[in-house]
Amino acid sequence: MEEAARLTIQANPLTILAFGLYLLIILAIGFLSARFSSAGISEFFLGGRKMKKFVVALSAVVSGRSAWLLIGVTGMAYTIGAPAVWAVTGYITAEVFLFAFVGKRLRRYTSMMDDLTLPDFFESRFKDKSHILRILSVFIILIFMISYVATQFSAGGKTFGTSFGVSETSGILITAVIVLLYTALGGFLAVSLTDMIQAMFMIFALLVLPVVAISHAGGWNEVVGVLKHLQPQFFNPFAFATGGIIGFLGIGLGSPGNPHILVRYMSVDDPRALRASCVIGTVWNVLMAWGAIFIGLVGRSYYANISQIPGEDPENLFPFLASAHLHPFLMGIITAAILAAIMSTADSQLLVASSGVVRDIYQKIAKKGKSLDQRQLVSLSRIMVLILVIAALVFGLVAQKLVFWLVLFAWGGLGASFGPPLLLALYWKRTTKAGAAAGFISGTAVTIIWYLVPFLKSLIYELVPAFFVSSLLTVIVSLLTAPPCEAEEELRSIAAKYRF
Amino acid sequence: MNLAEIFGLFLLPAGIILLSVLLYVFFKEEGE
Repeated sequence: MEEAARLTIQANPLTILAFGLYLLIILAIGFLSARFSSAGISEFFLGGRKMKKFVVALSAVVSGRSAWLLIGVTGMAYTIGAPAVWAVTGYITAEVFLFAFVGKRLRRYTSMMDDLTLPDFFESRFKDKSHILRILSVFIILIFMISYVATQFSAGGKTFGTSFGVSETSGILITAVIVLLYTALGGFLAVSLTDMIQAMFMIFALLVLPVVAISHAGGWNEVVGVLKHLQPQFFNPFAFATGGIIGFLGIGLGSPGNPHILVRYMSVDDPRALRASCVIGTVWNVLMAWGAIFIGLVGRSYYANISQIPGEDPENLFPFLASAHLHPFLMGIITAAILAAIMSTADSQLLVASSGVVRDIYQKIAKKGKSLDQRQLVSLSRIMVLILVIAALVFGLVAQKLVFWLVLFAWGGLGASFGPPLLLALYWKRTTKAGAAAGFISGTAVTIIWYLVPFLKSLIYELVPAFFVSSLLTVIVSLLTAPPCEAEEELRSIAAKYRF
Repeated sequence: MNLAEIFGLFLLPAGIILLSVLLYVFFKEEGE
């Protein structure tokens, strides 16, 4: 509590005004999107596949970037210096290829089969009438997504606490209510449009702060001079263990398996538009990531000793540096940016979890895929978003340790479970249902086991071996089982025809 | 700053953006 008190930034009226404007915009989007999203379950969970390239680009990028980018990466760059670039290089490069190639195939296949969710895709691709893949994937999604949402709410609570002096519990509740309102009302459209606004706030904060802080320090050469004097290797990205660099790059293996990112590609109006989304999304990803790295570097030149940062925690650097260098109105935007990072991730995860229950369990399994009243399904989906918010709040408060334990594996676990089966299903006709199930199970299991064995954990980030084992088992088990008969024709019909 | 340092802070991000631009330029589909 003492740490929080020390970091509390005086809530200036201008700060509150800037932050209030941000809240007003995202809530207005939620209300204005409500009518469109009420039309049917496809509109509510996938925006009726009518999303434009710019919205998809920014939404896909910020859904995958939680507060980890603003708080975690800035703190990491402060601590280890330039080697932190490898932690962002992996996922940004992976997402270049997801936008340019994988996303297009996924969009074409899911549209052809009228799939709305990732479990829908696996069931269609492998003609799985037993629903085993659907049940297995929904189970994995719900466990990880609820934990993910609970930790996002908790991070929101901390941000409200440090920025406006409210209690952490009140901050958690405020975050949850805001996300609930616009997500339940506006569905996928509101989530995507608010993601776009949130992307603007995030990039503004991540570019303005380093520029102002470097300028106040007397220029870039001055920052370099101070840091080289302190630690000659601080700017050398290769001054890091090879295993560490590979592990950092391996973070990118999580992107093709995280359903809240994948559904963004599925929502685009024209799959060919993802070619332009690739450039827009990559520019955004790169500017945000290197902005965070520069904040960490310049922060170290100001606070050479960790004891100079509140709580002696490098993750407090971002708000602390901002409060020291920015006008109160800009400080409001910085606070909004941190909450934007949190909310843009939580809303997407909430919607994916809700679709897992309503679309996958209720409509496809309990009601055996019968045609149901669309408005009733949307109402049910809204209620499910509310239930999941309550579940995340209760889960986060009652089983806080379990939530934080689960979320450690969320990015890696989802990436290793779904990534290899998804990529192989889209590109290799020989992939089978049993192969995909083996990939799901081994991906989750290896991620958790690797993390829990200290010796293995010290070697490399668990996602790298888990992704490798999941890929290997998907291939081996697929080769040992009979493939679905229509696979060759289906994959041919979704392949892009390039004109070189 | 030496080459490795310039690479990490400036050339690497520029290279990733360039990669996306190259994919945009060279991977046009029929009908585009």
